[in-house]
Amino acid sequence: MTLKVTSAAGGNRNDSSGQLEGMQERASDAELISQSISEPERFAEVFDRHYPKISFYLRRRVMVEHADELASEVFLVAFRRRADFDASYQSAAPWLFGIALNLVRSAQRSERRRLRALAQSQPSTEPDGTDDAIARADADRIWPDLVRALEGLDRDQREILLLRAWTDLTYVELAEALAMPEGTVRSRLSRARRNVQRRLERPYAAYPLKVESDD
Amino acid sequence: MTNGDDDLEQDLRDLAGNVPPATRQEQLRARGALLQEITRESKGRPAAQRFRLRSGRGLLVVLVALVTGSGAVAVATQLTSPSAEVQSSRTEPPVYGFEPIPDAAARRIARRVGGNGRVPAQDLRRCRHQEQSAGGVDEACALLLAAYRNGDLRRDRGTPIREGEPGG
Repeated sequence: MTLKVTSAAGGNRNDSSGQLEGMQERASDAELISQSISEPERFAEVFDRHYPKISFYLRRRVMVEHADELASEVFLVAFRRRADFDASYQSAAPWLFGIALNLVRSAQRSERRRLRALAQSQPSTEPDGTDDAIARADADRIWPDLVRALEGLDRDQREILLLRAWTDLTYVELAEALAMPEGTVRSRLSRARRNVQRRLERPYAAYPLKVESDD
Repeated sequence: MTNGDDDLEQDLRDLAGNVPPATRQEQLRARGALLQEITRESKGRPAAQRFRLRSGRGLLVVLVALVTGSGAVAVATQLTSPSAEVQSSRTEPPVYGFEPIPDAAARRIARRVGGNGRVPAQDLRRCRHQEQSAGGVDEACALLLAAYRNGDLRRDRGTPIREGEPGG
């Protein structure tokens, strides 16, 4: 069995430089999925590697009670369809995010509720009072407008913008997840950014600057 | 990408910045659902498979023994006690909490466990002898004893044998 080292971020690289000497080698996602055809239990390692990121993304996209169901469903669907996985991709992350996106599409009401809830939520508090004030000011500054602008986007543009912002997928991986050419990803992302900025109540640069502390 | 684009993406990240990640319990629940799916698929296979799952509080051993005879009878036993840990005789390290048992061992378990979940006393005795011998215990016996001591399997005639009893 050929072993490759998969980066923690889910990217792919081969250990040809020797810099990774001493690190524990492990099977790539593609190898695990391939092995899971005859040894289904191997698929559990794919779950262990990717569940946190998939779950975290879904918790941002839809209401938490739906997100947990969907995260579980992502891996059930992936397990059932594992024979269809394209083994030329070493990381399973884009494939899993692609499945997650399809599930989110079926939960649009939950997605809208989630966006509104995010707009009304308080920023995460920092132990430092000044930082807290800055975070609150930023939230008051733009979050409500931002959410309205996101809601006004068509589904495809909202999807690609949030996938880019809320995951660590590269452009190439976004293309895998969305099953489209990388060039299309870049142009659609660019249009989505422009559209959000156009839909804000004022030009992005015209929003008040972030609150600066005195010291 | 312009500065405005950078600001936009940063604001989007901030917007979702206080969404909590899934708890360990939620992760285990999702993992359990996947395990069930894996087990369902494994039931169609010719030999038993065993999976080990480490959780926050101990060790979960899932033993699925497919018993073939007049008809196919599936016996699935879940052992949740930490005492149920079974040391593998294989030299490979466990793979992320899962370790399939060799088919030969699975077949031996399947032969020993009846469709009613009872184990012949003589098999228990043999496994206990094996356990106490210098050569150690084979995997099928280790699983059988662990399941028996956890109360998930019973001796062929009645209640579990207590430690120190003949055959126990």
